[in-house]
Amino acid sequence: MADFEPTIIAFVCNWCTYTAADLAGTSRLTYPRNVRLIRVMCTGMVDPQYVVKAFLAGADAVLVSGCHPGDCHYINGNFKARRRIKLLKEILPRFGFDEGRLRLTWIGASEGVDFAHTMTQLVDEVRALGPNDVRSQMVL
Amino acid sequence: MRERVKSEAISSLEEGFDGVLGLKRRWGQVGPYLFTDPTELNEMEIEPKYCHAKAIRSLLESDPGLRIAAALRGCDVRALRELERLGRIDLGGLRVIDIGCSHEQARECNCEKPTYETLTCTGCWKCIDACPAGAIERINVCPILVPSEWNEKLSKRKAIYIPFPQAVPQKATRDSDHCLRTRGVLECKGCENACDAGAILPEDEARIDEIEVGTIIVATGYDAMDPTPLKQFGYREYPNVFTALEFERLSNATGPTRGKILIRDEAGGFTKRPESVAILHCIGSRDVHYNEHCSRVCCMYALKYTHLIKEKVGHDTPVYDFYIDMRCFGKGYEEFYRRCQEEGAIFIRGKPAEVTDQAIKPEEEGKLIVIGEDTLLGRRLRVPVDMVILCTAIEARADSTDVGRLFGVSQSPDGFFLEEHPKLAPLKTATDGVFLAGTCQGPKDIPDTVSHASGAAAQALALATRGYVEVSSAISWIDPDICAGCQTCIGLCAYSAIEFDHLRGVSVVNEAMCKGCGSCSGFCPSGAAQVKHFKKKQIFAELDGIIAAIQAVGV
Repeated sequence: MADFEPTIIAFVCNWCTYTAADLAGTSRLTYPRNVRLIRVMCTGMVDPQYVVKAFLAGADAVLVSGCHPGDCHYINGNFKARRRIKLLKEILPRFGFDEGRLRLTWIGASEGVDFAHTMTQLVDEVRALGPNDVRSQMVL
Repeated sequence: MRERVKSEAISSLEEGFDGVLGLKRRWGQVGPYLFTDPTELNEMEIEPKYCHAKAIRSLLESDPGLRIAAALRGCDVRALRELERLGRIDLGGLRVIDIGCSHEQARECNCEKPTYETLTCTGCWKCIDACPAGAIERINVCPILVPSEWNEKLSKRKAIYIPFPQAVPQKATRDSDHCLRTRGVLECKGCENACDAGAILPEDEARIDEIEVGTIIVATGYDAMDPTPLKQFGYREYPNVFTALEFERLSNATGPTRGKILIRDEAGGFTKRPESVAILHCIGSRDVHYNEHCSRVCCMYALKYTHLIKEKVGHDTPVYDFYIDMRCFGKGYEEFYRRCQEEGAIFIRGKPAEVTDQAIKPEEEGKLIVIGEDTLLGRRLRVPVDMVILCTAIEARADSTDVGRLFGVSQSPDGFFLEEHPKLAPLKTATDGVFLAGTCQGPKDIPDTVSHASGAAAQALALATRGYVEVSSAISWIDPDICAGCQTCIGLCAYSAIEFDHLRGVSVVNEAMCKGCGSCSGFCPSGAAQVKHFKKKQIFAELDGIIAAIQAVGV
């Protein structure tokens, strides 16, 4: 299992986490290349379907990351995201998904270091969890 | 006079009034008579004075549905209005035809308020210059006196009045809630006859005009907190406890005392000079029981009052400022604070507990005693003063919630309107094209308000002069063929950009207001709401592409 390289899909909001990722890049910070970002305008627009689709497509973990609570560019989109992710985590196990593989974090636009750190930590944790077997289950 | 009364009596009968109460000579004596036939009116008399109040009362009591007109003098009208106030008579069916008393008659009766010869007044206002102060109200044409809002109800105004000196436009307005004519109590034409310009339109009524605009600046201001519920400070209980705005009017040259700082005597008139004054800061603000926020302006106007009292009442007048913290934050403010200290004002850190008139020492007799603590000295204080000024809180207006809803502007926890961003967009609101100016957004002093308002005007103009708005391409769109009309998205939209089309039974996005946050698309149960460039199909394609690439080349 030591050579397992997880695939992580991150839905990041345009105004905070995507900018933080940009900052991490321009600051020449390194973080594992296992993370693939999908830019959305706001975490509030992340439909639970996207998360499920990402798992089914083969993601070992899904991260949703936006602005800190109260800092949303669209007033309260991140609060809506927080509610949706909370509910989604409750129903995911009933369909055979591991809810621990879905993460929600807040990374502000200026927190490039924090972004790199969070990604490193996340990849380490998912590596410990092992591959997501939901896809093979679905095929069966 | 007689001819005018008669012509009004005839027109009343023609309009369908059941009768006109007047005087008629019968058997050599003049007595009250109810005229019902217009031909009889030739015999109507208006002299001598006769009190009709009793006759009207018995007439209206016998038949409440009766509609009568009556030729009455000012004293009759006042008597009837007093009866109405006491609930003993209903004047709904009464029209008053007024008989003006001559000045001789008024003097005979020792009448305080004669119904003067209003018809001869040209309204030139020369009389105001010539007349000693108290008599202005008699000569000025309108007979109604209402507490003046501008002077914080410390003086009276007429039912027709110019709202305040330097009002723009400098034009008279009629208060239709109090005007006898608009209320239908009396056919008073005092102001109409007096106006040379013919500017008074008797039938003019308040109306609502609909105007289409591109931008809106909300500048609805604030409410000064009413300190009556704070019983410990004795506002309304003791006549010489004033709010800050009341003091402002007292010290203002156009105010009720013409700029003299005076306090009320036993009779309630402003005649006495205060020998000492206490100014209580933070009344209702920085107080968890009322308003947690700081009202921001009080420290500086309290210093202004301190300075004004020293200047106008006398430099030996003790002025006590009870403060929590002195917040002199602006340009030149700290210097002004220092100047007031040098002028001899006494600053006591500690919010007083109570204002009372219960004297326990001889020097406290007849004074208001401010009980508090000097927290710097750790000493309890009883300060006898003649005048107490309460620096009351600046509060959001009572109707802020309704006004906010009207414009799609939310409120912060203190009730003031919420700006889009506290630092980067303090003028904008969540609704595009609606801007905030002044204290409706939060407490502000005059320089801050002027800056805020100038900014709002500039931003509004920047939008309006261009004549069009640029809308982001990445905005939401609701497919009307899929939308089930559940309206969930309407409640989710932070910008009120979605409306329900009742005709088609679907929700529709207002493209000018949508900011493309996608709250609607994230939740739409049928998937009808989609943000352009971030559609489900596009996101899924992106996902598939990423995974395919990873599988092809490895991580």
